Amino acid sequence: MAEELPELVLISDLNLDNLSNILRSREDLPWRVRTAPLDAVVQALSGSGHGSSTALVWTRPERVSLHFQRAFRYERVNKSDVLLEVDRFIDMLLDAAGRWQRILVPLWQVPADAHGGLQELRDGTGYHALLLSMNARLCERLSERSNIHLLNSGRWVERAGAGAWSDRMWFLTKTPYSNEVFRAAAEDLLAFHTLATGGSVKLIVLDLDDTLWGGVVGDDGWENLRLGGHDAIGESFVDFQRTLKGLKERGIMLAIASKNDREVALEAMDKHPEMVLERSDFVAMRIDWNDKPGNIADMVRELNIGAQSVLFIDDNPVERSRVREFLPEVIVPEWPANKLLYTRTLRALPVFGLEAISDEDRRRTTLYQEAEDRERTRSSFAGVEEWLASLGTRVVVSPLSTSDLARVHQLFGKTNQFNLTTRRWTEQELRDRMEDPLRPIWSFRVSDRFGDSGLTGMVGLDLTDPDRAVLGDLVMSCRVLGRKVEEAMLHVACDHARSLGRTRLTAELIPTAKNGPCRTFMEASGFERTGTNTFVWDLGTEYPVPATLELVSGEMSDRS
Amino acid sequence: METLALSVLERLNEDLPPAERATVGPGSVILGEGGMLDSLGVANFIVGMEEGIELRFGREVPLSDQDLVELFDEPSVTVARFAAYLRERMNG
Repeated sequence: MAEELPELVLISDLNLDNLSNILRSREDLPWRVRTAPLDAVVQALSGSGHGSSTALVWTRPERVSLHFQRAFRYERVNKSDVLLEVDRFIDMLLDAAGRWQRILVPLWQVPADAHGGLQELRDGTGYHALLLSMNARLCERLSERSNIHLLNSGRWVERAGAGAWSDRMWFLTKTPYSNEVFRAAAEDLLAFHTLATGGSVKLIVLDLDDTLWGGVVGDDGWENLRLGGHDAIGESFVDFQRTLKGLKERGIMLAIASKNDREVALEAMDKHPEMVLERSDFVAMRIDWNDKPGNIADMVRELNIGAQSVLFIDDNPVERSRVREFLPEVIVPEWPANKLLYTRTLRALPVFGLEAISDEDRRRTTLYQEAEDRERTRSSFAGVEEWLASLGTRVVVSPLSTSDLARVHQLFGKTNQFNLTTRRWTEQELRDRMEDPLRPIWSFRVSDRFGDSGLTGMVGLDLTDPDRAVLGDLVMSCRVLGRKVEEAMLHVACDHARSLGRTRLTAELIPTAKNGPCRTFMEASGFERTGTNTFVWDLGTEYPVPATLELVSGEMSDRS
Repeated sequence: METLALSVLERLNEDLPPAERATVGPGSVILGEGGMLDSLGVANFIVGMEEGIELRFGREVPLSDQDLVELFDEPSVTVARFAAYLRERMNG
């Protein structure tokens, strides 16, 4: 039986039936869409049973704040009265946040062509200034909740252009926006879903000639490349590189796939004074004359990431076409012929999650470079066990704590491959579980002689049924896969369940298109397979700790 | 005028879930018995026609008025009938 899709509930004081239609016109829609009764925002958000649902709460500023409505009609109002009404609305959203999987809130808009006279941006009197304050208040207060997301509706209005607002549709049907706005909103909602469920790009593979710099280094020489200087094209390449560097600092890895003589290309990188990106910014480089799809496939395999997490940027339409053909999962955007548009094109791609940044994100390129060093040593050992033992792997296990909450939430949100159930716990749910002895979670930190991989795994148990123990969560970053950390995680789960007198630990895998690595591991884990997706360990026997690593109990200091 | 009406309807069709899309042609019934549009669809269609007429003919022809209500009182209004009504109205 097909798995039922989660629900997206459209909650609004404006008519969103056109948005509902546009969303449902998409065959790849990841939700069942339901529209709550018009103008019943409070009622629709209240009540329980929304745990797996997403609410889109799209309101009009003049409906949320009657004082703002008066200001929009040119009356004088007090800003404090407007913000008091905004705070009431925010309180309601914060109260509802615990009952919904996610709440999405588009920023408030009014038609930009409505002229507010000389006072329109004067703080305290102009309605445009009031609107800015109202939206700023949303950003300030709602940022504290990780499952409430503000959406930049200004982008939708801008994309729709002059026809964004429709007074005709407003007075006929209470629909203030044209369908162009709703189409842009639908695109953003789908992109949001992809990013929020682990679909963010992790690696950008870049060409060099006419992509990272202007010109062909093999023909022109590095001294004659267009990069920086008093030259519009040169400046645009520097701007593009700076933007890429910023993404790298936010944890997105960079790699090169270029048809060039390696030494010539590297000389340009090392010697050109205006190069922003350095060799150390790239987690992998394939600079040779081999076919690019093959080179990219090798990098994807080495970095142990999914091809759907890769963005390929190349000025050459033939190369783009080849990568699309041979690696259909890789994201290959159309790329402008005009080099001045590179940065804007990159920034318009809705593929970067850029969530709260963790230490692991900041260190990601280093972590993968360490992984490469680790793999390089492998061939010098006769067997895998010997090699694993040589790594000096140390696994520190700790009960979930507040200091790890952000990273654990992030890992739950974006890990797809080694994930037993792909349950996406909200931060509040994880917080609740910290206090719940029947649903404990442990985090795992991994280090070895090559470096510190950081917090890379979680195990969660469900002990709510007194007669059984269920492995509810088994999540691990693929960059430590194959080092027996996963076995250490199972040991911790089994050991805890045994200590409580449970006799069996059951793991029920929920298969997805992406969690094949987890299935493969469970099949070889030693657990008895009792059903297609069910694996059981008899707790009469201890699940062994792998001999090739050291498992250490971490501090339990931060449980508050 | 018929071409404009058909293009507006086709665009509206694209924004509908696949199961709710109708076949669009001159004989398609817009409203009434067996009509392809619900009340929101009619509003979308009227606004689309108003905007399309402005764009193509440079004329403002408000359609959400009493005359149109009477037209839609007919048992079934096809695309061809609607186009004829508009031609008459713009020429009249």
